[in-house]
Amino acid sequence: MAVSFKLPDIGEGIHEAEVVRWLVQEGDQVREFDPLVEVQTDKALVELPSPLSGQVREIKAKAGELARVGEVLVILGEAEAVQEQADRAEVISAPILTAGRVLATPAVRQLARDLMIDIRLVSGSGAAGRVTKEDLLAHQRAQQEQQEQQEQRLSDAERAEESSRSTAEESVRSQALPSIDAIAPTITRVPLRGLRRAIAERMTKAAFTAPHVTSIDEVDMTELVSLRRRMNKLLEPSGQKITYLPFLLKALLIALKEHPYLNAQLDDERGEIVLRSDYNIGIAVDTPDGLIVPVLKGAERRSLLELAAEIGRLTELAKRRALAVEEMRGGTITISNMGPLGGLFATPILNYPEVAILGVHAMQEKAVVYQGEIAIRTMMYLSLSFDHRVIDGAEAVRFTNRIKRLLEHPDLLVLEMG
Amino acid sequence: MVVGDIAQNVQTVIIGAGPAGYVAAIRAAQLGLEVVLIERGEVGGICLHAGCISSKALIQAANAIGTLAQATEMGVELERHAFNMQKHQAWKASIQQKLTRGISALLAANGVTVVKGTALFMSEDRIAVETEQGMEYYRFEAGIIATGSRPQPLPNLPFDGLHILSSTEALRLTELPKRLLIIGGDCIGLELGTAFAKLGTEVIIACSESDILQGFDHSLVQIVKKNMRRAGITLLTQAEVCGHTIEGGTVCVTLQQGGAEKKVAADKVLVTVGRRPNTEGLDLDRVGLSTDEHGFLTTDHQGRTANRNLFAIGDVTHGPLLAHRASREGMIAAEAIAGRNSAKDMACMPTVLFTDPEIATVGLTEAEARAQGIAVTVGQFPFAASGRALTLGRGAGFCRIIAEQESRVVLGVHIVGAEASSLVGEAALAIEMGATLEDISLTLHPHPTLTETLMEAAADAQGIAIHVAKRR
Repeated sequence: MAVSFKLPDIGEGIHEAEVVRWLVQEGDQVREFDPLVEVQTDKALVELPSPLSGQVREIKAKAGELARVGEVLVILGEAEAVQEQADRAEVISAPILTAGRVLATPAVRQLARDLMIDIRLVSGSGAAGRVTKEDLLAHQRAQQEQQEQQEQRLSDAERAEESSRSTAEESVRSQALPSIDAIAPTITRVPLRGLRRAIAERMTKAAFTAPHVTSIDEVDMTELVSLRRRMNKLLEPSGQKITYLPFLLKALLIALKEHPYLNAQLDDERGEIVLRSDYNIGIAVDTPDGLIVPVLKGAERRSLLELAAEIGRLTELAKRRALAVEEMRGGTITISNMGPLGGLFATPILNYPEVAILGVHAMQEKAVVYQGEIAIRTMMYLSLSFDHRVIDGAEAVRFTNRIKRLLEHPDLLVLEMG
Repeated sequence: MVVGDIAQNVQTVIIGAGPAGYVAAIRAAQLGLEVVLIERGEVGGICLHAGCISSKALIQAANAIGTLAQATEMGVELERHAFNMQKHQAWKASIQQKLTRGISALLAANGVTVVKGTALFMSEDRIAVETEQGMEYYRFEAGIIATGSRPQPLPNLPFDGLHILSSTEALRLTELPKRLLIIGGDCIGLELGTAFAKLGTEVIIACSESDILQGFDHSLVQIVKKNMRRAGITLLTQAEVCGHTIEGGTVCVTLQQGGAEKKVAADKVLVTVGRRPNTEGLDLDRVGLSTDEHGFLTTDHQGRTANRNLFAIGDVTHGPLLAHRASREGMIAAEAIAGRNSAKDMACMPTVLFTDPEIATVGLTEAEARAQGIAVTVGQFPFAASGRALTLGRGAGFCRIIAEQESRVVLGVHIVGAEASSLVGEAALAIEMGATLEDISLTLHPHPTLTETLMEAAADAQGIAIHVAKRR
């Protein structure tokens, strides 16, 4: 008996996932709960286990395809039925012509033109070899896959050619400098897949949905630097350490409570601004695969030390791509800490549908005018990008001013923080 | 409206508001294009004013008289009946008026600007329209030529509008001719000839071919010929026109038939020997276009001409001169201009003849299929076995279906019989959808209707028809 294994509903809101990698092949025997396939949802990589013990009969959703919830990913079943399946596949593999025409309804023929598919090349799975809409879509997927493989092979070949060429040139190089023209430029085409695609889609959505403005300010961090130094000295015996991020989170929370429109979403459909009473702070993490934003919840109820530990935990999980779906949803605002990497300031793109993102940049010692004299102070830029549909410039500046004042006067921050 | 030589910019101009042009205009407007539709006569074109609709009105009147004769047989006793041509023309005019107003309203509702006048191209992107008020000029991004066709004259029997008539003029007669000679054995001549004969005119049809309705299956034509004879129509085949004289209101046409000369006198002569496209006078050379020797324009799968910004649709292009082809081509051209991927890829094109009985065909004939090397299976159902056909008093005719033997996919349907024109729509859908004989025979068709004939024919092709005994 064959069982269609469909993409399950992995979590609230997710309606499609990309098949990243099959962990089994057609014909493989699997046991119940054996991992079958890795799928990429919104931002998490999820392994789906086999619902039964049996044989993998037919993989319906190939790696790289997007599957919708409820779509059949694979057909599982008992071994003896496999042969019949293969026979059937053979029968429908060649297009069937009737009176020199491919059988297909007018609507399907129009779809073929819209998809730029030569319908004569499509195998029809319908009665008497009719080409159906599903056949066209399957054909399109197969074409894309083939093209990608070709491009991959091409770029592999180019790389191989390049490396052999450079070896051959080694000896020449000892005599003369290689000509710039001697090395043909190589173009590598990397398929937009998995996390990269998720990032690309979300950034495009954010950039073209919400009109962004970025407001930049400079903060004197000298006092906070010395407070943190004193704290870390005290922590030394316990082996614990505190970073700047917990302070930033606390300052952000205080400012958010006073400026609720920055902890909000715009519900376009209903024409309403949704103000959130929970403060879920996304923390942008740079991973080898790309940007991932775990969400830190309940920051207002945690101590600075607890925050430090939680940030550490989430960052580590993100880097290993091991975050649970729940740990990546429900963000209401995002912090992007670019300090460790350098750079002066940036204009971050919103983590849509959030309406604000705070960029935190590297601290630098600078000569500045401090209390009427030139002094060397530790300065840091803050970049706040905000959705101008919801927030006006003045409000954003007042918000940044509040954060700035709290960071510049950590005594005040300690007094006010929850 | 600006008068003078200042060109107005417009996205799409369409020349001709017949079934090709007005449909293209509406579709283009639906797709957001700004459209100027140029028409020298009235919207609706020949189809509405001197073709399909007009001839159907006449045929309907003629059939009414035929029905009256049958009614007597059915037990209806009639004292007297007569045909009043003037009243008929008034009735027909009221229909035409209704339809013309309808098209005008649709064009207006879609925001199409209709300009009444004669168009000619000035340059690659400019067109002039000679209107009653003077010349108007338009600069266009895309153009559609939909100027249609007109009756083809015979060199030795030119139209004079009085005695030697085209179909247009014959349809506008206010008096029934006593004796009508029709030159040409194609559908227009047969449709009008049969109608006039039923209305009381003595009709003689002369064609140069060996038989009427060239290109149609012989078995279909036989049934029509039988009814023509019954209506008193004289048929002269392989008869060539040699000359004519007009004397005292009578035309005497000399025909060459089998080496012998034959003189036929009639008070009216109707010449229906084909139609020619209206492509002269447009100054097509100014847009880089030329026609073939017969005046037709060559187009691609979307109706695009050699000039990428210009499309040609309907009777000015190669293909059967059919209003439904013209309308579809209008939609496709408009969609192509709007950037869509539409194409002329119809699996079949139905043809209907309003003869007595009607002939309607779609798809391949048995002979055509065999010529393509296709093994076919054929089913047929006689109207004489249809309860509905008999109660209509229309038991003549049959429905034939041709399918590919192995796949049973329907390739063609050929019907001769009452309401064949309406029945063929379902067959066209079946062919477009790639339906099989089973798809048709397993679909419930209502009883008692003529539609059962197609279902039974499909069953017969499988050897399982209920209402015919197994052949062989």
